[in-house]
Amino acid sequence: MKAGSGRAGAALALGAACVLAYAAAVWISWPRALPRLLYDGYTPPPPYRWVKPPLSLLVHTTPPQPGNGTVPLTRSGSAPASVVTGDDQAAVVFPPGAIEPRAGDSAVEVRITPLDPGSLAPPPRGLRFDGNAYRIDAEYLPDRSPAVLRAPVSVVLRYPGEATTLLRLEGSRWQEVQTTRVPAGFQVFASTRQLGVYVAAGPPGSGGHLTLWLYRAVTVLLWAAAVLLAVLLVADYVRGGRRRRRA
Amino acid sequence: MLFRGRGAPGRGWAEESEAPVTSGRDRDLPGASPSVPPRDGERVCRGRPAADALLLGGAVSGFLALLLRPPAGAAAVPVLLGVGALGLLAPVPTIHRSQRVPWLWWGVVTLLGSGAFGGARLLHPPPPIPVAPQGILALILAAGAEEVFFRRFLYGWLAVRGAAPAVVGSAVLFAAVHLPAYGPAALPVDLAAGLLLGWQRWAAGTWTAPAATHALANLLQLR
Repeated sequence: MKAGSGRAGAALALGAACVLAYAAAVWISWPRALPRLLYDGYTPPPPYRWVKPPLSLLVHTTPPQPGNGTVPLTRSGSAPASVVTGDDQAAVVFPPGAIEPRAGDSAVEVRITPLDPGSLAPPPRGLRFDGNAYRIDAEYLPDRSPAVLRAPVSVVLRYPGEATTLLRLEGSRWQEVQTTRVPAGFQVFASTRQLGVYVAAGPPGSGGHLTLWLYRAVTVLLWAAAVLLAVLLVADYVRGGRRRRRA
Repeated sequence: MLFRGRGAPGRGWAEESEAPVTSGRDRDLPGASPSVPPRDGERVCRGRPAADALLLGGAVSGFLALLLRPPAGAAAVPVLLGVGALGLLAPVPTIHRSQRVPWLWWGVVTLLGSGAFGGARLLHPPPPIPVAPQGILALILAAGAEEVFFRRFLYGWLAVRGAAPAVVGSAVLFAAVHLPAYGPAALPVDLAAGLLLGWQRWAAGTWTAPAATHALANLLQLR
């Protein structure tokens, strides 16, 4: 019994080490990547909600939803928080202490408003808008003055097509910002110290024919392997049954 | 019978029971009963080259299919179903025989792994993944298919070399298949998560513990 308890203790200690390793990985990665508990999950997303649907989209689309949230302020800065639109199409992730604390203010209100990017400024040469633009505002409460960022926040936008970059509206022009693409979630995100208006964009047209061909070939191989294995297992089971009956 | 033949002594393939079990290599695990003779009907293979080649081909094609699967969308579902079928059908190599582990211990292991993901979510809520209603089913399917492939089939295959190569190897391959979709920034989290899920496979003796944890982690990412 004592030996069994010792083995259980050792196994739990190894498990605790794995949990700590996971916590360390999260601690290191989340400020640099789009925070996810596990970078997994290939799920069909819901239809994209457009402010102004493209002409090719003849069906009526549901209007996009805005987002609103409050980030509590502490003496050391803001608490970690994510503010997301009601339809999950845009989000801002605030790591701990991202917003400068201010005497007399207890929180920061964050608003995300969907806009038609075409009505703001034309896209840069060689790019086209892929989805709605989103205005992100943050104000101290109750003061209502603009919030000051002292660390980068992550701006995350979902795109409906083939976006490769995020654009930020500066005056009357869109500027590209350093972007990370997350194709599994149809999302692009950027780490930035500036709020404002953002939109996802990508090159006109799409490629990836070789990848598609390769994917189809591998899928066929995979199913062939699974079917062959199933046939062999059934044949093996039948042979075993005959042998047992003979015996 | 299939996967039965002559080969290196001590090398065997045994079908994994759905109940929590551990391979003989893992016999130092808590809750494991003392060694018992092979059960009647337990499938055992000793290194038949054709069977080895078939399983290696299955492992490679499953890995490539996951690596090249298209981003979020219905097109990924046939890949997940195929990988799941492969992972479930493939005989699992074990060096010795299986042993049962108490369900209470299974619960402790599952709870510890799930607690890590739940704790991370409490610490810093990540932005939710946009998911259609049918997508919830796809999230559970993805978790089940991946776990049955990585923590049943590949883990069992790698366990021939010992538990540590099986845990580390399956974690590395698990992290690698997510690279095209999420980029290198996701590597540390997926690698650490893979180690945690691999530890669960080793400690609980069954792929069902990491599968339950993986499904929960995926669902925790919803709003």
